[in-house]
Amino acid sequence: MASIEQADQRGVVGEDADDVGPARDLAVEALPRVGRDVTVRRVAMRVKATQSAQRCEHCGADGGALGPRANHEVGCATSSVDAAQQIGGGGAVDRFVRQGQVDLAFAERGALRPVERDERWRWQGGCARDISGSFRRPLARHFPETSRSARAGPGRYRDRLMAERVGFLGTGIMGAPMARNLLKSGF
Amino acid sequence: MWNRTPDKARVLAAEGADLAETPADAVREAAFVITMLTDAVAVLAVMGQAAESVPRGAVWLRTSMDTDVERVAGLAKDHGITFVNCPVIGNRKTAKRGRLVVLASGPGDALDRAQPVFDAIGSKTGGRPGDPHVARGERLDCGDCGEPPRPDKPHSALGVLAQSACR
Repeated sequence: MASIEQADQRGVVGEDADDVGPARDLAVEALPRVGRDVTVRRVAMRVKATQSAQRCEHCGADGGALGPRANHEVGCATSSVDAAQQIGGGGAVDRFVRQGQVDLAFAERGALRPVERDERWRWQGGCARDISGSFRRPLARHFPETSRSARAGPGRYRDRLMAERVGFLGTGIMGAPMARNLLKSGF
Repeated sequence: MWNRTPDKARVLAAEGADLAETPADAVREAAFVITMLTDAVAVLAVMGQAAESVPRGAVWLRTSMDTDVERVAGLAKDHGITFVNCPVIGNRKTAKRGRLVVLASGPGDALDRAQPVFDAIGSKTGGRPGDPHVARGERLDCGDCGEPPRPDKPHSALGVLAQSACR
């Protein structure tokens, strides 16, 4: 839980030391939201520029604007601290990834919420391998053809569903918090 | 999303939701249509405007707790919309925490498809496929043995729901 506390230190990272791609800005900030029983953090990753689509080293998924190493970090190998060092090293990056791991753990409880919807797919990369829980849902939304659900077939309804939209009619006393929870879950 | 009072919906728009000006606009590209309205009259009035715009294959989840299911289900049937009656038990606080109890009934495949939606808004989901009228509140008997659920005897999902609803 020590890494949770580190998220209070906002960090911005400039150049990628390994020159995988364009400079990336990583920002970690506290999220004052309470999930089931825990206070969770919000992690934002802003990619300043884009590069041509590349494929993940592990699963071959299209990485979109992020390079394969970035996919490795935020997609495939979210449980590996080594991945942080691969994409540029540095304390701030390392903290980001460590914090990212914590958030991913919370994401499995449905508590993760990217800062901006448009940034979600960038942050979560293009690799569906080894991503568990609800973290996989928005991924399936943007890369449905490479998601586990697509490979698993019709039985994995949960992942397929996340690629779909919800029309919500009535956002009053009960509807508003329900709609808000749907947004937080990636719908 | 759409709300009769747009100002209430604008708060959610700031959090990433797409605010629609009409109910028809809100459901036009939706795979799921959720109605959380006061009663069947309101549901019929709003969905009367939106039903024509519901995409083919979309599932309508009616979450309000009124008992006039037949007319609402009839509207869905008239427009070829898959209908799931899923009233929720809880209050504003539990809704905010995502811990509503969802009593869902409808076609089995639609229930499966909608499960992630239920997971997002509630902590417990139970229901019975095939009967959209079961979740009206008066049939919370056990799906296995037919007996009313007891706190110490949660036979089925509905039993568990009834148990948790009593707490």
